[in-house]
Amino acid sequence: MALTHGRGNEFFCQKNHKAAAFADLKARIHAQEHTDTARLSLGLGLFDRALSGGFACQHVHLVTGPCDQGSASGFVLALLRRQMAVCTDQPVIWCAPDYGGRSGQLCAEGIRALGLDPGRFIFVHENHPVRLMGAFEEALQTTGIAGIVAEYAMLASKADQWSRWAQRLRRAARAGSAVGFLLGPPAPSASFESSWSVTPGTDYQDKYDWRPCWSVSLEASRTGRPHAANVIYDPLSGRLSAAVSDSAPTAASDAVYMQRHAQHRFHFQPAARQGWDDAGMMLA
Amino acid sequence: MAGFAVISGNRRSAGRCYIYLYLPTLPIRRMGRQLGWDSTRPAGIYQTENNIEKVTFLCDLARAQGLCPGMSVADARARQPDIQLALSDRNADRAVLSALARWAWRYSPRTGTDNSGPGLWIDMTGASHLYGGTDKVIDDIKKRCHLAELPVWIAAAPYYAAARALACHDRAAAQGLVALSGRRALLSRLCELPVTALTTDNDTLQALSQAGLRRIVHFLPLSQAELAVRYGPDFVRGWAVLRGDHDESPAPVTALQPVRATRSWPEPVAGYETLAAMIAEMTDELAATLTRRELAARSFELGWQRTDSTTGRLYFHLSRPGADKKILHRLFCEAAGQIDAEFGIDYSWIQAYRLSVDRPVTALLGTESEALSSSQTDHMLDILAIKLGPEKVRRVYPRAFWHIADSTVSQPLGSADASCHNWLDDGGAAFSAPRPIRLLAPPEAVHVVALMPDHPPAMLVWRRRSLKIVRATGPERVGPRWWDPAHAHMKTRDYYRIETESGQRLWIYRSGLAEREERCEWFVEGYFA
Repeated sequence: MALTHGRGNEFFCQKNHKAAAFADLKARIHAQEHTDTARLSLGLGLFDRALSGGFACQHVHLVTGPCDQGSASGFVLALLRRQMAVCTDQPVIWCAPDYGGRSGQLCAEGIRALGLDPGRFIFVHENHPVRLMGAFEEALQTTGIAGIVAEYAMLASKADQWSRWAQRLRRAARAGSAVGFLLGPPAPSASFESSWSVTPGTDYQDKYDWRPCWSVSLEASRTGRPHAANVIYDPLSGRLSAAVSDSAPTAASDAVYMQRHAQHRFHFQPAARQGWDDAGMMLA
Repeated sequence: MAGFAVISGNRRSAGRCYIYLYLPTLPIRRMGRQLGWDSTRPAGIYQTENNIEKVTFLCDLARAQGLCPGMSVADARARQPDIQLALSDRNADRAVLSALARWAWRYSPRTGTDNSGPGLWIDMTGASHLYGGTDKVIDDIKKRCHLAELPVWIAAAPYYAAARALACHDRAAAQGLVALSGRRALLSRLCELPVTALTTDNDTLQALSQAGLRRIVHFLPLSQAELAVRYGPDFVRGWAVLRGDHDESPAPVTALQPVRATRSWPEPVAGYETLAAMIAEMTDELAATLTRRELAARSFELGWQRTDSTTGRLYFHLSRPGADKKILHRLFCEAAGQIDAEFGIDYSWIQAYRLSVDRPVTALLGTESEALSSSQTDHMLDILAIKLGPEKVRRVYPRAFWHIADSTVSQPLGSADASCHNWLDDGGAAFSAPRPIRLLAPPEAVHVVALMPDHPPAMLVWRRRSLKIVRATGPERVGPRWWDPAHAHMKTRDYYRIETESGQRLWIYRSGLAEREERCEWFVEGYFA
C-alpha cells in the first residue's frame, strides 16, 4: 500500500513538474510573441492595418510569385528601399543560388533603376539549398543589417524540411534585429510571420506609365488579417501607392514620373529614327 | 613685400602636396588616459631644461585659466593649485604618433611623424585626387578627429616646411588651410607667421624680440649676410627651408612586419583535440601580440611542419582588419579538421600579415573602446566566407559598358573598396534607362510575330506558350564594341520592353538589323518588376 502510495506521489510530482514546465514554456513563447518589435511600414494604410502596423522586424516573411516574373522581387526591393532609408548605413544581404535558372538572377542595374543603391547589397551565392538556408539563418541572427533576403527555389517542395526550416528561421530571426524575406515560387506559409503572393497587376491608366504595378495579396499573417490590393511602386519617390481601382495615386508624382521618363517613350517607333549608333551612344 | 625679390624661384616642389596635422593636445590626452586624470581639472605636461621644470603643453581649460606654455611648474602650481602635471614622456608620445602615421596610410603610402612636436605629415602628392581633392582629405581627417574629440590644426602646402609652419602657427589652420594656389600667395602667408616658426632656440628668439622682429615679414628687408651675422647660419638656413629653397623632407614611417606565433613540439602531435588546442593556444598568443602592438591584420596563415619535414598551410582572411581574440577563434575554429597531420606535427605557426592600423583615431586614443571590436555584420560575413568560400560572398561594382552583361562586375567582398563606387551618383532611378530586375543568363531564344521587321513584336512564343503583347516601348539600340575582339561576331541589338496580356513585363531584344540585311533573331533577356 505504501508502495502504491509512493508511486502515486511520484506520478503526481511528475505531472506537476510537466505542468510547470509547460506553463514556463507557454510564458516564454507568449513573452517572445508579445515583445514589441520594430515594424516596417508599407505606407499603405490598408496593408499596414492588416499587418497591425507593418512588417515586423525580427521575423521572416514569405513572399511568393511566379518564377518567370520579377514582380515578387520588385515588391521585396520596394520594401527594402523603405527599410534602407531608415537604416542608412546598414547593408542588405541577398542569398541566392549561383545559377539563375528559369527565374534568372538579380540584376544590379535593375536594382538601381528601382531607386536602390546596389553598392549596399552583399550577395551570398550558394547552389546547395541547405547551405544557402544556413547562410540565411546565420545572417538572421546578426544585428546591424537592414534586411535579409533568401531565394529558396525548390526547397519548399519537401513539406517536412520546409516546416523545419520555418521553425529554425523563426528562432534565428528573434535573435537578430533585421527583417527577413523568403522569396520564391508559391509555397506553404508554414509558421512564417506573414505570407504574401505577388503577381503582375494591369491596373494602369496611361499606356506610357511603366511604373511597376503589382497585385499584392497578404494571404496569411500571425498578427493580422488577409488583405489584397493592386499596388503601384514609384521608383522616383520610393513610395507604394494603391492602384487606381483602390485609390487614385498622387497626381504630382505621376506628372514628375512622366516628365522624367519622356526620354524612354519610344512607343512603336521604327529603329532607324532613334539615332543610336552602333557603339551605343546617343547621337541626338 | 620687397623681400620677395630676393626669394629665388624654386620649382622643385611644383605639383607636390604635403598635409601636416598638428595635434596640440595629444600628449595631454595620452597622459590623461594613462594616469586617469580628471577632465574637469586643468592639466599640463612639463619637461626639465637646465634644471628648470617648464610647462610645455597645457589643456584648453588651463589656458583659459591664464596659464601658458613656457612658464615654470612652480608658477603654474601657484596660480592653479589643483592643476594636474606630469613629466613629459617623449617615447610614448612618439609611439602614439607613429601609430597615427600608420593610420594615415589610408590616405597616402608616405606618411611620417614630426620629431620636434606632436604632429604628423602626409605626402599627398599624386594621391589627393583619389579622394576628390585635398579639401576632401582635410575634411575627412577633421571629421574623424572631431569624433575622437581631438583638436587638430591642418595645413596643406607644396613642401613639408611650409605645411608644418602653417599648421603650427597660422590660426586659419584650426579650420583647415590649403595653401597650394601659388608660390606668391604662400610666401605672403608665411611672412605673416611669428618668428617661432623659424627657430625654437631661446637665445635667438630673445635677440629677435629685443630687435623688435616678431614676425617673419619684419626681417625681410635684411639681407641673408646680415641675418647670418646677427642670428647665425642656422637661422638663415631655417628661413631658406621655410621658403622652399632648401628641401627638407623627413623620413616616413616604415611598413609593419608580419606578426607570428609559433610552437615547437618535442614529440609529434596529432589528433583533432590536440590540434584544436594547439591552434587555440597560438591564436591567444597572436591576439595578445596584436593587441599589445595596437595592430590589426586582415590575412592569416596557419602553417605546420610534419615529422617528414613536409609543410602545409591554410589561409584565412577577414573582411576588415581585426585583432580580437573572439574573432580569431571563430576564424580558426574549423581549421583543426582541415589539417592533415599524417604521423604528427613537429612545428606549427600562425602568421598575421596585411597588417594595418586601420582603426578609428578614437580607438588609438582609447576614448572609444568598442571601436576596437568589429561589428557583428563583419563577423557574420567572415563566418559565411569561411563556411561557403570567400568567392561566394560578393559585392557588385558598376562598369562603364552599355551591354548589360558587362555593365557590372561581381567581386569577393575583401577584394575591392566599396566606398570608391557610388551607384546613385548619376541620378539613380531618375535618369537610368529601363533595366530588368532579373536577368536570364544566357538569354532565351523566342519566336515572334511583328508587323514590320523593325517593329516590336505583337506576339511571341516562349517556353511553349504563346504570349500576346499589349504594349511595348523601345528600341534602345546597343551595338557591339567595335574595338573589342570579343564582340567581333556580335550583332547590333534593339532592346524592347514589352508587356503581355497577363501583365508580365519582359526585356527582349532583336539581334541583327533588317536594314543591313542581317538575319534577325529574338531573345528574352530579363524580367521587369
